Amino acid sequence: MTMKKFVSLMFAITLVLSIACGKGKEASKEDEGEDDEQTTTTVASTAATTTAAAAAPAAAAVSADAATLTGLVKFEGAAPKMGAIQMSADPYCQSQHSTPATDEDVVAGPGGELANVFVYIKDIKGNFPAPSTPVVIDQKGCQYHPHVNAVMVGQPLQIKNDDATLHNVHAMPVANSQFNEGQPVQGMVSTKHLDKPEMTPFKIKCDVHGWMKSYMAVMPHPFYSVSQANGTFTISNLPPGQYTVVAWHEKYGQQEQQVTVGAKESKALNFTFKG
Amino acid sequence: MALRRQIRVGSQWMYADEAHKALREALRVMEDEKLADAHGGHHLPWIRRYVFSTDHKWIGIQYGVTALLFLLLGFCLMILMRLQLGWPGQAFSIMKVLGESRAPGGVLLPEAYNQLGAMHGTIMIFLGIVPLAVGAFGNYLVPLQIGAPDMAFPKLNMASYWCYFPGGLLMLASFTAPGGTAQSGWTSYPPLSVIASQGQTWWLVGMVFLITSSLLGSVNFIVTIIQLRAKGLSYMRFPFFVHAQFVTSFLLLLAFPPLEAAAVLQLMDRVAGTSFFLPSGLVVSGQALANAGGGNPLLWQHLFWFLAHPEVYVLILPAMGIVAEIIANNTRKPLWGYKSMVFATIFLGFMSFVVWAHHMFLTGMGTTISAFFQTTTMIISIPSVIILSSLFISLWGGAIRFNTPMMFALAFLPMFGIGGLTGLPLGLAATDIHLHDTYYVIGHFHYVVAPGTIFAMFAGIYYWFPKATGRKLNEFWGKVHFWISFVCINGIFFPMFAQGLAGVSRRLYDGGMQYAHAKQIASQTNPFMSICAIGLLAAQVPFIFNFFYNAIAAAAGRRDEGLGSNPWHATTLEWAATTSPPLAHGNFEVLPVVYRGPYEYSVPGETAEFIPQHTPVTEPALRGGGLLPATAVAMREN
Repeated sequence: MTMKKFVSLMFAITLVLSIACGKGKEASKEDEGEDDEQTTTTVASTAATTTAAAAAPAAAAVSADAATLTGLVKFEGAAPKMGAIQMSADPYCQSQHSTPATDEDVVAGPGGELANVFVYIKDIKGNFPAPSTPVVIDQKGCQYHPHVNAVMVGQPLQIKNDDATLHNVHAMPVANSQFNEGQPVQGMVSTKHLDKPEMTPFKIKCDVHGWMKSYMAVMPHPFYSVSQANGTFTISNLPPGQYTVVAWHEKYGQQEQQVTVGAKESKALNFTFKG
Repeated sequence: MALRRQIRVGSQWMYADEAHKALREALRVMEDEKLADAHGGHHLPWIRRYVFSTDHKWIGIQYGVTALLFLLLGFCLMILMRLQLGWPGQAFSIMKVLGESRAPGGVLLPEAYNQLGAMHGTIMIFLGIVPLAVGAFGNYLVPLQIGAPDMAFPKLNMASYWCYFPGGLLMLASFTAPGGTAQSGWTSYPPLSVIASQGQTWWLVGMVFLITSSLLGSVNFIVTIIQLRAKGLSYMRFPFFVHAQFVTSFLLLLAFPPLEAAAVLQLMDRVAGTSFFLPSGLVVSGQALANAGGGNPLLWQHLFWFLAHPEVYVLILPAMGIVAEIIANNTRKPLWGYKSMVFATIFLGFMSFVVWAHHMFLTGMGTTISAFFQTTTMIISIPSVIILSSLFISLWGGAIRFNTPMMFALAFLPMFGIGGLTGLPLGLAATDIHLHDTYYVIGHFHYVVAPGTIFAMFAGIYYWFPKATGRKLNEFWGKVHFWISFVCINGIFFPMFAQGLAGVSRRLYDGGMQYAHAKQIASQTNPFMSICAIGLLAAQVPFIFNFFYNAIAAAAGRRDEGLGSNPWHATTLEWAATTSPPLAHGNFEVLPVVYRGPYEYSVPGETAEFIPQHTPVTEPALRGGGLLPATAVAMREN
């Protein structure tokens, strides 16, 4: 074989293999990795980060006619009693709770007020710029705070480790790229930008501490809320119109209601979940 | 059409355009011959001489320099890991070289630690030691030691390097893959490796290149050793190094194809949706995996270890060969038990194919299979002990020259001894239950390959450097290199046995600080081990300068004039029968004929202190036994 032939053969082999690698990229999109659009900047610092009020949608340009949607989410019947979390696998986690922490699958008040229900407008059109204020998830006492939250497309999502133990942040979105990274040092913050809307919340979990889970939605608009401990939620600055409102709960699925709001109107809307 | 006239060139009639072509060709050839005269041999263009060379010596040097650089890189990755293990979670500015996604603010992330671990193993074994031991030493020395003008297939030889080099580049490039490079360990066990990020795909493709390279090399070695031996060089006259390379080549030839097949199957699992290694109903992070299923992760382990155990002997046999040469030369006496060493090596080669599953005692193979493999494992330790004992006994009564190559070769013996003996408890199924996947295993195999094989490689570099360059490496700095390396390397690996016995698992990102049972010993030993690792890195600085200073000086034509062709007074052909460095083309002016065994040092009754292999055997002086004196004198005169 002449030298030229050999070199061209090697080149051809390299080319074929590099194409194979390219295919691998598509096939492994579901894998734990980060795509190019997603930027990650993580800093190890115990300095306080900017906090954003949990579940408070970003301020969009408010029209003078803006309406407000408020409501209450209730659980019908006796809410299931949440068990204590067995944290003895990690002595640090256990030491952070004087009384054992309980599961957060169903957080209901004495009157059946259901917390952690994600309520959002399903079908609103328009261009809503994402705020630059980050949404923060804090890992503290080996639990996520808040348990359910949402971020707007392109809005920074900060995940912070306030524990002096290793957590790994394993996010399992469907439309966005999954990521899975460790935070070994207290005070570490990972900043993520999720660039595709994903209105049904996806799970974020810690593989080190199997009980830790949190839910996060990626919204194309700011009209969403998470029900508080007293079961209430508020969606404000809503342009007048007819909408489908969705209430999503991690265990009991989701419900929809139609609602029409007029200019400057304040409307109440209640949801009831059954066990 | 116009009439074409012909012109006469010599006795030939040609058309003018043909004559013009012939003239151009003649001018080119004349120019070529002029350049050839200037270079003292065949003239080759620069790219053929230095890049796509087919000369086994240059390919050996290419392999050697590339492999040494990869070894340094693999070692640097380990330094980063040791910083993390010694002082978990602390920020180090050097760590920032890994980038913000791997070490934000200089704190190494766990997944980056996994990447470093996987790539440290891969680089050290597949890009460092094997190419250095086989590609560099084998390529450079085997044809010279057997009196051959080159390898049997020079172009195949070149192809071997040019599969290795892109394979290495691909491995390096995988650090830039989305999600980082491979992070499933150098063993790449599925299902984790199949569901890992894209770097694993790059790793697999890189492996296919590297394995192909080894296969091309091994075929070439086998044919060369059998076919191109000098006249008179029977198998039992081979230097032991040639035997070691011969057996190694068979191991590479027969053990690598299963891994190549396995790598392609895993690649298909990752990119083509097959399930060779993925079982049905696999749930990852609480989610069922959408795959066809029906595969078997253990199949990979079998295929992998069917390669990787012979691979251990690929790592160690050339090292033993190098040490044997240096010990014979520097004790100035033949190897003790040469024949038993040769047969032990061949037996070891055969046995290495039936011990692989001792890496898998904890996979639930069953006691019958475990009993079989632990028996074969115990048996394979016998030839290793024969070789090591022979080398030890070879020292007995020798007038040992303690030069740098000999220091490294001598250190190899106890270090490999520790590495080998600590392997026995791992080869027994009962004790392996406690020790499996602990730091004890890391200590064991590092004693075999780091102060074992790598020390032998250093010995070989110091010993054969004058052969390749005509210059000797500096002895003082060589000894500085040796002593600091020797102390530090033991400081790193010896505590690992204690850690492993205490139950500290390998691959822990923080060295065990999160585990109550491991915390105490980890905090007591890890910082010390990491300091030793930094010391070991520092010890390489004199070597790097020594190596490159002398290599560059030699390349600039500054030879050590007083050195001569055979500075160590060696008997084997590579020293005795050719110049240092050997002739660019063909190695020998006249192909040598061999008359003697490889180690005729201090032969009783001979005046010469050493007798090269190609020295003809003279008729013994007749003493007239049974003959009348007159007849004896007549025979002598005839």
